[in-house]
Amino acid sequence: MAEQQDVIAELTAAGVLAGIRWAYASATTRSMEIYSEADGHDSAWLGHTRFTLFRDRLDRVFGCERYAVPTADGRLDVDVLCAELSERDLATMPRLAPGRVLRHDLRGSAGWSYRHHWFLISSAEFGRLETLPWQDKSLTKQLVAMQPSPDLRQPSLFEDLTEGLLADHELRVPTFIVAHTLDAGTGQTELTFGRPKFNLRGGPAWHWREDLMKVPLPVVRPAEIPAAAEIDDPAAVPDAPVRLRVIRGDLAQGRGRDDR
Amino acid sequence: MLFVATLPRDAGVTTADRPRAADVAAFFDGARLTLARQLAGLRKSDLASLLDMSPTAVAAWESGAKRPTAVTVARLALSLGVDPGFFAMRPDDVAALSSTPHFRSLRATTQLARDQAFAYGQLAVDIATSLEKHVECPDPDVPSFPIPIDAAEPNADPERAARHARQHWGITVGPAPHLVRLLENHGVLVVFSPPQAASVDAYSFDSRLRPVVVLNPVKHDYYRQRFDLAHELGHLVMHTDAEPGGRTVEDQANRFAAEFLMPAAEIGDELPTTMNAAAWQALARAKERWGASIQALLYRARRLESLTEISYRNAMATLTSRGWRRSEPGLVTVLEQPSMLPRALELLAAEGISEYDLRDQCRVPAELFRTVTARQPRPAPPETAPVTSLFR
Repeated sequence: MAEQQDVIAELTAAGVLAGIRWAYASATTRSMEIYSEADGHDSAWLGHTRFTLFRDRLDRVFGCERYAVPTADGRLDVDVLCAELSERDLATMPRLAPGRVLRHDLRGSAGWSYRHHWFLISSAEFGRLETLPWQDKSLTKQLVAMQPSPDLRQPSLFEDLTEGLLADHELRVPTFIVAHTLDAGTGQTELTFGRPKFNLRGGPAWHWREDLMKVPLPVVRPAEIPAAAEIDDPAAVPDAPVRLRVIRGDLAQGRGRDDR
Repeated sequence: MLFVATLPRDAGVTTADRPRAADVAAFFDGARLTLARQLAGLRKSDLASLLDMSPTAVAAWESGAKRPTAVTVARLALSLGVDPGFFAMRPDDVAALSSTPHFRSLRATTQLARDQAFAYGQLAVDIATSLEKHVECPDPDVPSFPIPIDAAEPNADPERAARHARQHWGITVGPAPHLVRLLENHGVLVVFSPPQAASVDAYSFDSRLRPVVVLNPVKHDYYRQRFDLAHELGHLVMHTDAEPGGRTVEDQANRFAAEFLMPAAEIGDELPTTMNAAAWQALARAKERWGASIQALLYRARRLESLTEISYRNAMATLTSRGWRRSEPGLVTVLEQPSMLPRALELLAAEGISEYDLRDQCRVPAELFRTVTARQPRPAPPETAPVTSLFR
């Protein structure tokens, strides 16, 4: 997968993947924080909120849309950028120069571009990323999934179709998908970046994909843990008081010896 | 001057005078066959197929309704991988004299795996019984504080039971000490289960000899193992007569463990009230002080209403995203280890009584004997397999 290596290396070096990873962690954490079944929220509410916040966080970390507006002295308005973010979000937010990643929607689907790579975001069912059914997604996502993979010599049967539907469109630029899931019950998440593959009948949904959950966040590590633990060192505790059995005089079979 | 018994060098049964299948047939004990079959991870029908006999015949031997012939005893021993002497009558039927074990996640483990695990626990008691003929171990001293199995019952207060247990054992203030040793010093037999039984969580039961806690061999987490031990202690203190496996029983044991390890009256000030960078550092500090995982501390904070439900969920999501659900960072990387049976072996070895002699006396295969009497869990197999024989 030459394309995967090249794309991932380039986006990693530019901090784009770390930005996506941060944006999703922030969006899902915030979504789960305000999600309340008792307040009448349901999975549709959670899905919409998650999408809205993910889009917002991507704009923040990449300095797009409302977060792209500089102040009079040319600097970004930090108050706007940081509004409503948690301390952890602020502590872990990657710093990317505004303008490196641009907001670039495709046929109404929220999208971003970095140099000659584009990506859209798409939600999926938790645990089903591998077979994400593109036919159930918007026409735009379907068309993105029909792009031919440069790693395959065999032309795609869908190539002509994409050409026709997007004759004058930017899909000539490689477009990738960031797919994301959230299990409302456990708070577990999945996040992947890859080249989608149009699939029917539950086939593989990707030419290749990279698990973005492996991208390390700048963690607020417990580096300042005091070493003075109060618990016992397990290796330094004496054994239980076991001793050789004492037999009364008439039963004694062995030699006499001091009690241990 | 006191006298101690030492076994003469020739006290061990030699190959020549080991009971032959013909002798064993006369003293055949159906309960020992059940034990061997369960240790081998076989159903009655599985064993019957191995012998080309009917499951009814196996059931009849196990119940004592019929006695197998000498040839059948030999075939049983061969099929199960034990010495024929394993089936010989014992003074006590350990299973009949033990309480039903408390297994967690009943739905997650099969009956076969649970039977095997319990059989292993009984074998541990059998070995301990054999060793205790020669050594003295601390007398059992586990306080009893029965709790009604009804969440709505006002007396169903596991926290009170935990405070009672701490007081009974003289832990007046601060973190609980080395839990394995604490239990052993009060007469509880603690052993690691074999790696083949890694799918079964820690469990406990009371036996004629002493209470028993069997630890999972693959957790490799000092902090979670301490919680497991406190949880099992909760069962021994509160639930000796309770029907095991119910959700209420398990919840009560968790609440007992939380209070035993992190008493509400003492830990309150150390728990976070809001989640931010400082809160994670406070949790890391509390983890090392109390010997409890961050997950357990967060749950404690939620339970004591120091954290709101939202903050708790938020924190758990963060914990998951950091991969800490499976593996939390912590300073202590060495597990607490059992010492009662290993120490007994060392003492007897110093008196010239070899492991071989003792093993032969118990009629237990070498690997299984070593697993029961080890300080450390045996190395895990490469993959978690379905139930496989503990004799191999």
